[in-house]
Amino acid sequence: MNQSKIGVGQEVDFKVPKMGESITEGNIIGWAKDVGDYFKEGETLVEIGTDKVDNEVPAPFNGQLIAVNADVDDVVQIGQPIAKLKCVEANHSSAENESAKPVSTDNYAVTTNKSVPQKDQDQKKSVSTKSNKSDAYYIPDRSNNFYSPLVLQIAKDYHISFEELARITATGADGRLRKSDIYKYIEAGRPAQFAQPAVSTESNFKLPDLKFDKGEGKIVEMDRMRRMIADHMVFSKHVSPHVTAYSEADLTELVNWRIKEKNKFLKQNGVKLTFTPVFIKAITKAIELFPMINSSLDDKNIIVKEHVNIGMATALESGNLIVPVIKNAHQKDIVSLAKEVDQLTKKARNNTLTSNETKGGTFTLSNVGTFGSLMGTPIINQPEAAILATGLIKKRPEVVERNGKDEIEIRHMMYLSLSFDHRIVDGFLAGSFLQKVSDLLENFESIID
Amino acid sequence: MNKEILMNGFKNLYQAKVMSELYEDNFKLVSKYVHATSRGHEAIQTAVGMQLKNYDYAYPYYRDDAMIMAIGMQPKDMMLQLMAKKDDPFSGGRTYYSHPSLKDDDKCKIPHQSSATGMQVIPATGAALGLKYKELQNLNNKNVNPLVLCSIGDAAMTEGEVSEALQMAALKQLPIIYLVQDNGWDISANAEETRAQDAYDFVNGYHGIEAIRVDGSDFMQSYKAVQEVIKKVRKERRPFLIHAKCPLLNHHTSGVRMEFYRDDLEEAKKTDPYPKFRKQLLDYFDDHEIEQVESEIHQLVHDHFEQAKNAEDPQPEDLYTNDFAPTAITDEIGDRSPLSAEEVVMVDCALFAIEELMSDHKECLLYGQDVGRRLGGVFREAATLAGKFGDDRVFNTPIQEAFIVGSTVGMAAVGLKPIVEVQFADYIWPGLNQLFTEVSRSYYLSNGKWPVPMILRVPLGAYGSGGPYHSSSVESIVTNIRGLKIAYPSNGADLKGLLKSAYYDPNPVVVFEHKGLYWSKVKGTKAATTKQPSQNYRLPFGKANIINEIWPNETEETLSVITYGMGVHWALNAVQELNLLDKIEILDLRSLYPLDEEAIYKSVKKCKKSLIVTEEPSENSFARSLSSKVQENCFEYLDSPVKTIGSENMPAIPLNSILEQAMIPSVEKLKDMITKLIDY
Repeated sequence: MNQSKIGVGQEVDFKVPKMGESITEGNIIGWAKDVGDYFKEGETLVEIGTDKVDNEVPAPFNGQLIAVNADVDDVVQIGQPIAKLKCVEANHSSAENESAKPVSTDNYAVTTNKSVPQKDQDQKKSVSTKSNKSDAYYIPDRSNNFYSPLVLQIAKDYHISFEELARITATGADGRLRKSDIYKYIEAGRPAQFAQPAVSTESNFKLPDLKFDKGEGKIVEMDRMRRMIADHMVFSKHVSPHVTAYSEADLTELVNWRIKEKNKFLKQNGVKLTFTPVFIKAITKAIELFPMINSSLDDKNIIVKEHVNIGMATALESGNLIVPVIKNAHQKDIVSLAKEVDQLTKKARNNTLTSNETKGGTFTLSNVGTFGSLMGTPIINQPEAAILATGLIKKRPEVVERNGKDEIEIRHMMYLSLSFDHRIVDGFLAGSFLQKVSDLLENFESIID
Repeated sequence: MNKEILMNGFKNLYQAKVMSELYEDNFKLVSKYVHATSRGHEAIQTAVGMQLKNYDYAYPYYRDDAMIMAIGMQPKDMMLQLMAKKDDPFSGGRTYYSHPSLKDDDKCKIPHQSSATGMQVIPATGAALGLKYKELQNLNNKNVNPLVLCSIGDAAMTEGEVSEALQMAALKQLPIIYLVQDNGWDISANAEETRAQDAYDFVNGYHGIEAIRVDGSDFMQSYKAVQEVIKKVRKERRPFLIHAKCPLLNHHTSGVRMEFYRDDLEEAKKTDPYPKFRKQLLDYFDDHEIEQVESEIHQLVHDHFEQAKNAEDPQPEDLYTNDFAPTAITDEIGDRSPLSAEEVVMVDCALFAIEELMSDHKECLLYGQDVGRRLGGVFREAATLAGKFGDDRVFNTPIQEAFIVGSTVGMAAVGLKPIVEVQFADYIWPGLNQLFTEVSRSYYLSNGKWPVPMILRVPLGAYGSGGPYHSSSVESIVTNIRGLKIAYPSNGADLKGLLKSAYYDPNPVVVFEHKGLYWSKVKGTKAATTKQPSQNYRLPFGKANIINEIWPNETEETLSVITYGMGVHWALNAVQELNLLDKIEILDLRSLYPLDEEAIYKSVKKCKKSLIVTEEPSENSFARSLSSKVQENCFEYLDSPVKTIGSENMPAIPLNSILEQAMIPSVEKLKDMITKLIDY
């Protein structure tokens, strides 16, 4: 971090600060100051929205707004200069914009639209129930589920469900949710109204005090991404009851087909022909027949999604994991898929994926075979309902039926491992879906167009 | 003897006899409601009843149906009460046969009396005390010399309260006749096993009550003797006891059968007044005439019975009438805090109130222990009053809580408005019987004829190590007596306003005055001392006061503290020390009955949490029952259970100050409880 001393009269660029590890861009919601206005260090200059959170960006020093380079609703990139500021008083700027009071969403702090409740005599529901959809909200670890008659009445008046009530921070004795808690929550705009908690800083799981001997050795600090992955994995396992179903597919025909076609394909399309697009095709076709597997759980509702966006779990050189998403895979042919797969993989490796390219997935494919695993117990990529791991394609002696006779042949076999969220998906559905994928891979001509 | 008197006497006697026999013949029908008849006592009762004037006051007891008819009632009137009919002229079906309440212009006045034997003697004596007061204050009609007739059975003479009354009658030389009808029995216990001496000998111990014996079964003898006594009492204004021996010839009441346990029935029949009188009558009338009269009476009695039988019963909605006489004081009027007024301690606010009342109203008087000239009350609560208004209007009584309380019933009956005191709430117990049996029910059971406009002042509360017999709080006992209004102010202005309203209220009022607040001597009770309200200031009952009204606040925890008396000061200090005046609303009830329920529920519904504060032990208390009402009426608005805080559940408040502090609530204990509730 550079410390830069900004002198009086000096004009500097005002850049869009970093607003989160996975955030690459945002949009201007509104300018708090007009050109020519003076401001003090720490005062909000502009409000920038991202898909995660809205940020009020403060002034880095006492100064004057000289020029504005981005208008309301413009999409701006992290680091992009959007205004010119003039320093009007000698002071330190403790850092560049990025760390000038970083509105770091490390903790996914909730900034919401504040709506003030009207003080009605009969305390009726005139409070704005506009909720800011922050998909990261603390889930209080509340063991006290007693609700007084008053609290129940307020919940009824504002149509707050029990699930939402359980998400409200309680400050009463023994962790009881009391009048002021629920009214403060409503006044704050009901931030947990549609909580799909992505991260909570405190894991709900409390380690038992077993004094693990973790041993000694080289210390490798987890980077930001690693930590996020770790938290996501813990969370996913905590919230979804995982069951893994297995099937195997005879890919001999597919393997032979690829060997035959790969050179032609590369010449014609400029990208390699891998198994991945075929796997994706099989998945999307199977999803058409079993749409419930392409869903998410929201409170008491299952959202069965229309779009099929397949995420491909991709390993990075750093050892981390990223999941670029192919949007609307069901509408793309093999060639398009292959191209997109190739492109996204390259971008992943170069660390140039946009936030748009890593979000919106509805189903994830994890090819564990690429590093030699036969099968696996993959962890669901929240908020999806299932994840498919394709294993190593291995030559094995198999029994096949030829002209009514059983014979042993050498076949290329692959195990498919489907982990699914048993809240949403039952064994029958999972098994049926998985069997369908296997079938489609064994009869791949129907899915290659 | 005068022929007319004899014939009238005979008619009344015979009528009563026929009625008692008729009841026996119709036992199945009439025994639904228990009743007693005068059979055997008719002679003396008739002799007395005939000689009472419309300016006299009679207190008969449950056997006196012959006396009541001699006063002027008809068989039908009696029978309507026998069968508890709607048009029962005495009580509208609310009380038993021969329990008359009468306020007819042309007849002797009969205030309400209860059924508990002997309890009527104190009110009767109180009436006589009132008559004397009126004479001394020139409030009476100079043309007449009224007296009080108190009728009682011999067995009831042993009740302690009777002695209190006799003591007063003798001490003050009151114009009262105690008629003791001695038939030698209570229910099944006879004279030998229940008394050391009969009433005639008993009253000999009281200096100043003259007694005579008379054969109560002989009409002529009875009439002459009663006539003499009445003449003397009217003229000389002093008490008499007439001991009349009579035979009890019917059952004690319809609820027992005399044949079951009476071993003297044959003996008793020998002195039956009826054959005796009929024989005497033959000296004046011939047999045929008498037979004619008897036949007519038979007919009349039977006719009246048929009419009464078919009369209407009361309706369920008739339950709710005449529990309280309507009061004119419904609004707060006058100046509570006049500009030029001085700050006055609470005890003096009461004093000035009474002074103003006594100045304006001759019928107002004050009595109790130590309120007289010398001391003016142990708390100086009556200071200078005797000096200003005279020893007849402000005087000491003997140590007789029952008399102090019950005499007000008689006083009220003769048109006075007494203010009385028990010295400490700890001594209210002997007076509770009269308060409950006589004072609280007079208006209701007389069906609105006899309200009791009295004020009972009760200094109470723990203050400065009073110990177990000078510290009690007794709200729960008194709030459980229906028919009383109850004031419990927390400051001088309220006390003055409520005392004035109590005086102008025709109903009985108990005023609780906390002795710790009298002089604001207890730390933190400066608020009890206030500016003295104007003379015409009235504070109606049933109007609570919000000490500090708060805005509704949804995003902060709020609390409503409901309390009264010393509780108000504890709460105020606690809330101020916690710096929560804008979050905690304190409601001062001011009157416990009528209760300002509307204000209570409004406050709790606003604050969502509630605490009831009392000085009494909270167990089984008025405060606890109030918390239950709050819970019932505000359930859906509550964010916490309704809590009650009071003294610990020990049998007495100990003398040692540390123990006393552990026992009763305090500012600290309240702060603790309030904090817990706010944090809940």
